[in-house]
Amino acid sequence: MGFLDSLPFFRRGQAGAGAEASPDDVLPEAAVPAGPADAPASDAEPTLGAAPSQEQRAEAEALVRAVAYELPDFVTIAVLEQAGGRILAGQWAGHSGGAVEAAVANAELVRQVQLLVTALQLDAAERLEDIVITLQQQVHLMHVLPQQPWLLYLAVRSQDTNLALARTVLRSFAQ
Amino acid sequence: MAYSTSSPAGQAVQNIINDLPGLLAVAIVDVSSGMSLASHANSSINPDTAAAYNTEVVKQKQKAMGALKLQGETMEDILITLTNQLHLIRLVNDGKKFIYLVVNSRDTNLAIAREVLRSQADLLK
Repeated sequence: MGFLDSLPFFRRGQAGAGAEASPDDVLPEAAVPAGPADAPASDAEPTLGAAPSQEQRAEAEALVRAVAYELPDFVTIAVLEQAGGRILAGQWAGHSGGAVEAAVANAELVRQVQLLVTALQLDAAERLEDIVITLQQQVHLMHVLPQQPWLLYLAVRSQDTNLALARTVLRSFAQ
Repeated sequence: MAYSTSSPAGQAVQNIINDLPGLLAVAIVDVSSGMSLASHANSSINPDTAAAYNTEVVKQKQKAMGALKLQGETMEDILITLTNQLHLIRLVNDGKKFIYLVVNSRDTNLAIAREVLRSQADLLK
């Protein structure tokens, strides 16, 4: 995955936590929440935690490779941190332009859904499993990984991969 | 009953209730304001609260799509799977409104729920 190293984001990540330029740079303009859902003042902006360790990155990359093996016709596979949407690992079939901003927006989307689940005061056993977004030509799936505070993000073309198969594969990796 | 069948939105809610009598909640929501035009619940779920949050969900995805510069793409629906519930957001009228439906996943499967919402999309144009 040599092309990952060409992304400034990944170079910074590998330079270590002490590097001056951190992924926080992408947050201010990209993750400004709006609307009534963010009314509670105690609900702070999502902030990125410490830089992920080499082990975490390796684990995330292994997960991406495993999903890519099962669903070779993917458009994008990525592992994101739930808080803030930092990309831990990813593969793009085409260009990866806008991936960082999109990851931040997608992580914010998941956070809004978690807020919704809380606001509806559902049964305590109700947990968010996945979110599927159907576009005209693509399907985007976000699966909440139970063992890590990560999201597994998958984009496929609907003509190449059927939704039921994609969900089944993601579910199998999320156990 | 927070709807009147004299409006298209109210009629759509009534039709969805007729198709899925066991639904937990349904609402027709205006995206620009986040307020529901018509809603109904058979559970403790407040569809108007859900409408406000769901509007933000829709807007975040539109932002993500804008970042990726997906050409010629529009969002059709968003499915949220919880342990025992399905929450479905079906965009209609070029993303200006959406239908929000909550069902118990034991009673209704995804394919049925999507089909029911698709059949009401024309009414809300």
